[in-house]
Amino acid sequence: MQTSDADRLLGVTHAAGRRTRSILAASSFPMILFGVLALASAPVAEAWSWPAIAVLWLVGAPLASVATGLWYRSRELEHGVALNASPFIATTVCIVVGATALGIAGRGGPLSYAGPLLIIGLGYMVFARLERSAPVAALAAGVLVSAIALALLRPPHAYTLGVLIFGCGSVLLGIVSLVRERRLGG
Amino acid sequence: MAEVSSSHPAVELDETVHQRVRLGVLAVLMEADRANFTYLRETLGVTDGNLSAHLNVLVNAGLVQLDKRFVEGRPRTWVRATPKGRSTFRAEVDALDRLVTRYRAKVQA
Repeated sequence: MQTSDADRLLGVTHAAGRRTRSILAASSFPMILFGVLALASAPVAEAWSWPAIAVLWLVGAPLASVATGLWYRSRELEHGVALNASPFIATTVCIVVGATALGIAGRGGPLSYAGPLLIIGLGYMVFARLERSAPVAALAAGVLVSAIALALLRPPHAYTLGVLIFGCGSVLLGIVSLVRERRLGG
Repeated sequence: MAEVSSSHPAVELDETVHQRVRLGVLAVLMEADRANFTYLRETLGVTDGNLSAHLNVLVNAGLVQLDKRFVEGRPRTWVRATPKGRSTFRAEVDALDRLVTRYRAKVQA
């Protein structure tokens, strides 16, 4: 065979893979939704105490997870291409259960704000690995560093600081992803 | 083809997947868990009949599997790569890469 044919074949192959990867990299909806949920919990934390935050997450996180699943399902039907959902579902369940359990077990102490952030950071690291996404890995690293810093420094309004860091980062990443999705046509 | 030694990457090319559409189908399925017929047709720029023919070749070689389902009352064909399909794709791309690298090295020498 001609080597130029091999070169062309490789080019076509990589282009098909790149297009598919771009379509599958969409994460605007969950990023914005969970970011907004985190940001919404900040005034709750300031106005009430940790049980109110626990209730917000116990109700909000499962609902947001179901909405995210439906959003990915609609994208699958719209575009005709999908990732294996099982590792994403397993990671989401671990984050929701782990973060909520630590939040409640911490009873307003450092474990209640640093613990869930640590779980979220680790979970997002898994998402970054599954999606091969550098921006999601950067957000995960930022959340992990914040969790450790908050646990060590124990500043006033630590919970609010933590959710503001995660919430703003998540919403920002979601908007960037949304712009990219619109450019790709979906 | 000129002289082909046993170490030449061309020897390792797989005749089943060494084709633009079939390699493209596997390239898509290396990134995704599954893709439907319409997505593959649009991504690879082929006709229904052409894609069907190539998918049959891949199915018969055990490289992909088809899953036909009704979604919202309409039949949809979903395609998945088998483990054999994934390993065959990796070997093919590796052989093509080495072939191109070898050629470029010769040109530069």
